[in-house]
Amino acid sequence: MKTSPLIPLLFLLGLGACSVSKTSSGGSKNTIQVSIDLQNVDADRVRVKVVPPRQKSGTVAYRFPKIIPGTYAIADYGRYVDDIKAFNKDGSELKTSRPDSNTVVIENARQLAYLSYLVNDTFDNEEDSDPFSEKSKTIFSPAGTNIDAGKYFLLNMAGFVGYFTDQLEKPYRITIAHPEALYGTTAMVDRDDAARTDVFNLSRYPEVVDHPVMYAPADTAAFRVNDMQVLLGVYSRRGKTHASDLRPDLEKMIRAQKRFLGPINDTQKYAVLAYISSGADDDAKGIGALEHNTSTSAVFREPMKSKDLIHVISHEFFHTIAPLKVHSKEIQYFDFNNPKMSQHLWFYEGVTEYFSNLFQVNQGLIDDHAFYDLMAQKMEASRNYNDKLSFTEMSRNILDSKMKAQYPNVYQKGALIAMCLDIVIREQTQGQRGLLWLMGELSKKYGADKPFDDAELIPTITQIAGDEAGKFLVSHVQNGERIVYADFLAKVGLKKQVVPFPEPIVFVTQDVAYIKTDSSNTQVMASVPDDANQFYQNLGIKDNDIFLEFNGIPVNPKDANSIIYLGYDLDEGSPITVKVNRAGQDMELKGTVKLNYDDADSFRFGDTGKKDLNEAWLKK
Amino acid sequence: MKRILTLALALFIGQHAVAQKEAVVSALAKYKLDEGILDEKLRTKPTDYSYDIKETVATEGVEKIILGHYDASKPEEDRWTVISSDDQDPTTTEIKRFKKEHGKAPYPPAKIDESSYKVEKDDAGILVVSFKLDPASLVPDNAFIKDCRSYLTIDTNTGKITKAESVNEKPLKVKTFNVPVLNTYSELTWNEAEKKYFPKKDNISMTIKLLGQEVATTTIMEYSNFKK
Repeated sequence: MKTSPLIPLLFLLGLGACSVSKTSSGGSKNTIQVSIDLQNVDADRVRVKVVPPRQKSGTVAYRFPKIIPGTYAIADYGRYVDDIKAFNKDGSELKTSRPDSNTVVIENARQLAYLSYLVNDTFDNEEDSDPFSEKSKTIFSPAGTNIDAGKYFLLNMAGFVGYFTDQLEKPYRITIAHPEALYGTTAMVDRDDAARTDVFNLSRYPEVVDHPVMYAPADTAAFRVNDMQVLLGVYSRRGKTHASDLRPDLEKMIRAQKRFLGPINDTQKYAVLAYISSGADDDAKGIGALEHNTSTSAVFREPMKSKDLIHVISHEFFHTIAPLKVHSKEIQYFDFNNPKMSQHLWFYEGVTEYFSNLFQVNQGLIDDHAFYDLMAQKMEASRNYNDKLSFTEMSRNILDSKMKAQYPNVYQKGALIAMCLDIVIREQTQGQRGLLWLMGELSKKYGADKPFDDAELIPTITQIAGDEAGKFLVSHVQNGERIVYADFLAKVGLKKQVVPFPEPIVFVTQDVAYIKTDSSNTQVMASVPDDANQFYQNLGIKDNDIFLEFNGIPVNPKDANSIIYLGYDLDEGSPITVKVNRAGQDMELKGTVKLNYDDADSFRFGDTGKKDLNEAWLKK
Repeated sequence: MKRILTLALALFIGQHAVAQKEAVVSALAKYKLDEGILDEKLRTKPTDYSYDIKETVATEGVEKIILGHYDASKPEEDRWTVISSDDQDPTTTEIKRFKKEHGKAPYPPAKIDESSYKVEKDDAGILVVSFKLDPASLVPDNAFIKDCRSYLTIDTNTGKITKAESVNEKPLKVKTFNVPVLNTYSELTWNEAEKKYFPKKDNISMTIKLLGQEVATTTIMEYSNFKK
């Protein structure tokens, strides 16, 4: 499904994984020491102990984030924290109050020796709703937490570790006791050699939130790309997918991304935490990823293919440019409980999404027609949102429940804004420079530790890239004027053309569903009212065939909808075996995938006078 | 997938007010109303009139408005034109989708389960009669309607139906999809010259549970400018 929500990364002070090695060993009196016990899970809850530095105030508040960078939605992580108590050095309990779910106020804080609490996981509490819908309270799975004693833990730290008000800049030392059989995948560096304990030092609270850890039976792959180490950790609840299956395509893609980026990227270590949901009612439902400076936590669903990982990581990895290298003060000094949002989601998410498509044609992973079709699909998808909305206004107010529904458009129109800006710069420089050059200039001017004022970004871009670039951004990003994409694409020689697009799910073509359930709703069957479904025709699937397996993966009769995933995003010509029951007899239908196609608008090159500019845009 | 359900429901709306004369005769007779009020043919959309349609689809806070025109004078395949989509030229995909949704033939007439009749309201000049459809009279594509109850609102002063509504009595299964909530209604106006009802507004509200997530969507179709 193209709509898999890829939650954006906003990023924080980015010392990243390499910064871990720069921090102190964590023994200072100023350090907040956190112990997380994954060995003794209490009724699906994990005990956390926090030893703070000596408090100077009589009263202090310990807070869990209401929101974390990159999610653009209220999470209220404190909802999942129980039994929170504060103690003095003698073990006597101090008086506390909880004015809201995220806040614990501790009296006589000068005597505070430690806090203790239990953390529930969020995966078990996901509601049946789209996390991006107006009223949803569900935490998007990749930003969530999972506790499966002895088997699997996902620690997005915002769910486990809080901060003392006005003490976000204090260092943390996090000690995690874990089952010996579970390996922790993270971009952090373990400071302890013990097999059942990991110790991580982090320079400030935003860095804590920026570093998720996934504990699972060792199923990892590691490789180097130039100076960067890449670590992939996989946990498949059904055990169907392994890191070794995914590594070749991941490595190929990251190598291409590094070539595309050149010296602008200097990431030292990058970790991918991949959880593959079974799709069951009690399992994670939010398919997508949450990006961090030096890692990505991603949730997929069986059956997972390497291209699902590629689709996610190709986007997330480009966040190492924006916002890591270039970001506003709203991100640098993120307020976890009263956040002010930047007005430049088009920049953080749109540019990132655009690059994740452009690099593929630039590096020869796809041809130019495929790239044009990807952009055309974004144009079609963006029409489902308010096209006259100022993108800066939308970004600034993205936490407003009424604006939340517009958020997915940052991956559609946001990417198209970036495309048009790229074309404007190419046109103005006779093809010599483009958007990647602009990002390099901006990262030189700002950088990971020097944020910009939100209001200065567009004037700065105008100064660097010229008046035409500035005019475009003011008109179409600030003022919300519609973009006539065909006019911009004409500058690089493209003309509108109707072309066949593969339909994403083989069970649906031309808006007709070719599946149904039997009268008892316990079997998923083929519905063949006509011969328009080429996938069915090619394999010989008949009306009322009961689907049993797709490429060896059983169709779950208790979750009829899960069959959608089995027929989603298949590759034309790839081998497939469908096991059906026809009139009481099981049979295997073997062949290759023949997709269904439907005509839609796209673009093709048709102006030889623009050949040089077209090549500069796609290949330079 | 929502499109498929909307299509099925749009077709359903045109006929769910079908009632058999015998079952409601006594309620109508009380107001000396003509039994012909229940004739299904009176509520089918006019195919010999041209008209404009405004379709508003709202899904989870995102709204899309498509303006279309039906020209009865043209050959059948050319009768529907999409004028605009959110004030822009429609795309190839939007045109195809709209024509498919609106150009499909209605389902064959369904029978009412006479044992299901109820008089829901009978006061202040309003008579509301409800009923369910006989599952045996439904085709596979609209079989889910058997779990819906239909309501007809009749103005006893004018003797005309003003509203036809349908609400699911339990979660529906449509194809392989779960639909926990479904509410449809049509507002009708009486055309004296043609002696039949013309549609004024159709409203389809539903919640679909798809891949573990519930999505609420409302489709409103407003009809205007009927011309012969």
